[in-house]
Amino acid sequence: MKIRFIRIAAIAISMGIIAAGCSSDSSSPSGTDGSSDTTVATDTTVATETSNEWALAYTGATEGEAAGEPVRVGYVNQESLFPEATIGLMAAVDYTNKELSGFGGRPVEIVKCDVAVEEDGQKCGTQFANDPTVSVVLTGTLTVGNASLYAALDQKKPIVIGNGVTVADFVTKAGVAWTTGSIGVIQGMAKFTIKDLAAKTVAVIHSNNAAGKAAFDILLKPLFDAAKVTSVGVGVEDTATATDVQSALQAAGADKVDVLLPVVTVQGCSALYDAIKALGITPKVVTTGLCFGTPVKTHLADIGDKGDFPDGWYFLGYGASYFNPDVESGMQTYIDKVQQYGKPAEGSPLEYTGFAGPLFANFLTVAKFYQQIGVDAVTPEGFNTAMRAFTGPMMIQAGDLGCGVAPFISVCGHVTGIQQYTTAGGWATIASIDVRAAG
Amino acid sequence: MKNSDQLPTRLIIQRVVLAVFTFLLLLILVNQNLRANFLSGSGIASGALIVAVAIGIVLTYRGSGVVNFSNGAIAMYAAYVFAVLRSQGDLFLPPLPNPLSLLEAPVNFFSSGSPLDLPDIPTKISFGDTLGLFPALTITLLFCILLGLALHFLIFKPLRHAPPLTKVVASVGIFLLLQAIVVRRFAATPRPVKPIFRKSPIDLPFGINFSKDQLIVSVLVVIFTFALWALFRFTRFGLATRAAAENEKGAIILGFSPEFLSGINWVLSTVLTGLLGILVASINTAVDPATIPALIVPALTAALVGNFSSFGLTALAGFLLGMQSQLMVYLGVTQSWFPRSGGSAFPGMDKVVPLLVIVLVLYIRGDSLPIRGGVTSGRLPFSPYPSKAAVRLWGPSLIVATAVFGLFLATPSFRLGLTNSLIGVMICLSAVVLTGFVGQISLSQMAFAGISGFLLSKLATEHGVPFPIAPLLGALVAMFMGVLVALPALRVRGVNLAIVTLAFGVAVEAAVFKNSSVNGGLARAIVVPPKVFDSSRVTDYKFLGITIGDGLQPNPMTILLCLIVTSLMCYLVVNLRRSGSGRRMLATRNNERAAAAVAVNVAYTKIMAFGLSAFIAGLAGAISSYRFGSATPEYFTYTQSLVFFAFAYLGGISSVTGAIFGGVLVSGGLGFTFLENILHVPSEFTLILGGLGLITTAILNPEGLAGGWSSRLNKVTARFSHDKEKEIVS
Repeated sequence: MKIRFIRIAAIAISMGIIAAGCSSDSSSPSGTDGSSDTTVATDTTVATETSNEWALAYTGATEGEAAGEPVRVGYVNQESLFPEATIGLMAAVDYTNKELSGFGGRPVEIVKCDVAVEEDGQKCGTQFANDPTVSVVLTGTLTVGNASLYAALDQKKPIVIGNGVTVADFVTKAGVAWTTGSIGVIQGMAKFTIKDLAAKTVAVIHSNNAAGKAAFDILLKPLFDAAKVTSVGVGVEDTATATDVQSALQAAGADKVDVLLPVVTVQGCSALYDAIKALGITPKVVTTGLCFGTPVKTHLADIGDKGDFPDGWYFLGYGASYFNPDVESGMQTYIDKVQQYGKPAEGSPLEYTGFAGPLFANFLTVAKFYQQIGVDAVTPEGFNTAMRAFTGPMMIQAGDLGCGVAPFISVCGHVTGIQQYTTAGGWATIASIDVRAAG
Repeated sequence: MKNSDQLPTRLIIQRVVLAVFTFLLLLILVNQNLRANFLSGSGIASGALIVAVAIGIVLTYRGSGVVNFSNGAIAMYAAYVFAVLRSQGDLFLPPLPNPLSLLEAPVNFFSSGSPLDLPDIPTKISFGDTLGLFPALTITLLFCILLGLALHFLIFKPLRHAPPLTKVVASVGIFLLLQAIVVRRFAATPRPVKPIFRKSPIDLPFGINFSKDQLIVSVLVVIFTFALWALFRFTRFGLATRAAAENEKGAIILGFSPEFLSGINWVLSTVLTGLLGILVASINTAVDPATIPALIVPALTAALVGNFSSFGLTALAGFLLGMQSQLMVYLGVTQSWFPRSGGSAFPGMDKVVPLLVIVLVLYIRGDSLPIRGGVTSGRLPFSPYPSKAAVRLWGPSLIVATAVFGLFLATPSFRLGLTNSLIGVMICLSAVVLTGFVGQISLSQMAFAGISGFLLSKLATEHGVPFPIAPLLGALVAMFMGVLVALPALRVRGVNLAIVTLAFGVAVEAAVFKNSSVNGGLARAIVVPPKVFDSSRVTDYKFLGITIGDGLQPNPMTILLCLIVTSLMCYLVVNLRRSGSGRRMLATRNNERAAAAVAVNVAYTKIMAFGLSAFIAGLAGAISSYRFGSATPEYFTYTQSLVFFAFAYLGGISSVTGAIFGGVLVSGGLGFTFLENILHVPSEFTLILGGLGLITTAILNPEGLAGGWSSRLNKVTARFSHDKEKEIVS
């Protein structure tokens, strides 16, 4: 049953820092000042507009069904690992074609290219670079082939990066990621730990690869050092088991630190939970939104523990919350429409709290640019300029956007949101943080 | 005389190693922090997981003489069967070719009416919604019995007199096939496994923390080890198995059937491995296609320490290997003397330890595995002597045809396939030199390719070394590393060497390629190709007034570069086979003592083969990095080495033609471009076909596709000559 969802990221497995899920205070999607404001949500936000009206306003489209010659959009994903990304995208495509009159009245056709091995990145890049009918390429989530994909498409076709998980995703000049991605989430973890939790000692468990090490060395440690917080980082393999994580926790002295920050895969989240349990310790945990996915929920049910998610853990995401959906950010629209149009794999539940959301949002934002530029006037160059100049607001992403900030020049989102789950009280929105702000 | 000189040296080294080991152990035990981490529950549990795979390997070897590289994959497969039965109540079946599709396709092609839809082969046997623990366990163990019987009767019984190379190839094929089936059925992401035991913490004396499930599984592993020891020590079955292992002919005379014993041991091994695989997955609460199979390297190390015969020593070594990995993590975090890279602890040091243990054990023992007293032994694949026509006619024709196809006729997707194939040919060529000509099994060719690729990045990007000096330097350093790896190869051969090279590949991947000082970290290991060869460059080229290319990616000049380098390497290897060096290599492959008796310098020959093989692999790594524009750790993994080895064997491990066939078949190569673009076979079938092809080739056609093609051609030629002779006589 829950199998499809298990795929959610786990192998983001391979690479490490991870595009987190979503969370945070949706009442201030833009204009955050860097300080964290703490608000506790008591009930689900009530929609004041219909989902369709929000989408029509966001994209600038007219209501109705699309007809005529299809507009072709390229799409690259590692389907064997991240089918959820495709579910989100295809739900958005079907919704746009049926209710938002496609792109300028014309239906959208997705040209898919699947990546399984390194060579496939170049294959997909070559395919779309050579295809004059494709003006823009979307990616889902890739752990291999990213670099060669970007090399093949650089300056030929603009790329909208879905869920960046490898270093190449964050430093490429070939495309942009409108979501804050793991970069913002991880910096947000450090700021929240220092400011709101007033920690003096922290242990970081990160994936033992280039991206995971960068998460600790470049994003976390400098902030902790500046705040005079003692930090210890320990790497674990991408496929780390509970036993491996237990070793890492012991080595990091997780039983003594104020806060534990795991930056691990979905599989690592369940392993972390088991390892903490095996050691019999009760650290304060601040982690990414990957740990509030269905795999963790399933795992807790499997081992007979109380609650849907680990009690008291803090989760950081892109800004808007799947669990406390709001209208302004488009989260309510997303949830309504993905449930209407999303097609889960046979025998699996619809998974929409992971990588599906950003792909849905990216597609609707692409639709917005097609409306603005004019469907027949869209060229790779024109789209490239528009997508880089986009300052928001971005669907289900909090805060304004700004692309090209070194060293992660492709990452445009900079605001992250924090939620906490408690067995007694359920979900509470805690804060949102602009990671560009000092302090 | 020579032996008597060597014996004290070896004894001295043995004692030094033992003294160092004892000293380190004492040091660890007296220091409270070191002891707490070394004797931690997680370390012991990690060891138990290694022992779980290792004792299965020993069991298989004692029973059938096969060093089973796929034992970890079997454990993983059983865990998947169990997990799916528990969660869905389904017994999943491997994807099987449907013969009805041969009927369906032509009928639908000619029919204009409603398409013919014949039944598909079922993909699962359903037992209901979910299954309880005991029914799922029972069905999984029954499945393991069938798997053991299938492995014995379909694969290893036909190979019982085959040389070790063939058995290694078959077990690597099983490894790849089982992994590919699981990826095809369930994707590569982890699948949750309902834990069998609870995870509550248990505090033991000396500050050891266990969780309940870790303690139970560790104790169970120890019990199984004792049980196996007792089985082989005290029962008639165990004595008969040992007798058959030492002297097969003698066992037959005594009325035992070695084949029957082998079959029983295979079943016992798969059941035990399957059961322990389920327990391992239960501790991990998840199973994925990579984690348990990756235990094969420490498990082989433990089995080697136990000399593939002692269950007790194997278990002890397995536990120690698990415990050292926990200690390494602790040392890396806390000790300033621990090797560092970019401020962080040097990665993968726990993976280097098994390699060091293997090298030490093999050096000290020297005499490798206990030799099985087989009745007969099979021959290695035939290495044909290249004809003059092949060198002077077919070779240049093939190059010209490839160039014309690649530069003028091929569509972009086939051009890309051709590029992948040409790189693949080079990797396969490196295996031909080492395995095909000298009989040395290397499972680390991608490590040499990676060394060259990453070095190229440093040389070209950071130091501005131009093309072609930079790739040549990269390949030369790979060659140097190859020579270093050859040093243990002077003392070991066959399966042991396969184990050494596999451990080398894993260690290099973990400690070197994943090191941010090597892979460039955030900046990545960029490799900027010369503009003319840049794969993403789109421009037309004029040559003698003719336009080359269609102005689309990939750049035809990239193919030309690959073609030139591959052709040069092919000619090098063809001429090597024709030369005296080639003959000395083949003499070494057939019988090292006999070769030495006719004045062949066996050591020099082996070192030369290793060096040349690593040079070719290094060149392939460099050219490949130019093609991608960067060197990435994901391309140079140990599993990639296994995959390329599989395709090299499938194509024909002992000839250049075989390497060309292998290159055509590699992932993303011409063969699969054809399958994908023309026949619309999804690319994920690559590994399934590769694994299946490898097993089939090992059993039915050890010469590979090239050998089969060549022998058929020879038969036709012979028949033609025979008819001509008859004409003349009449």
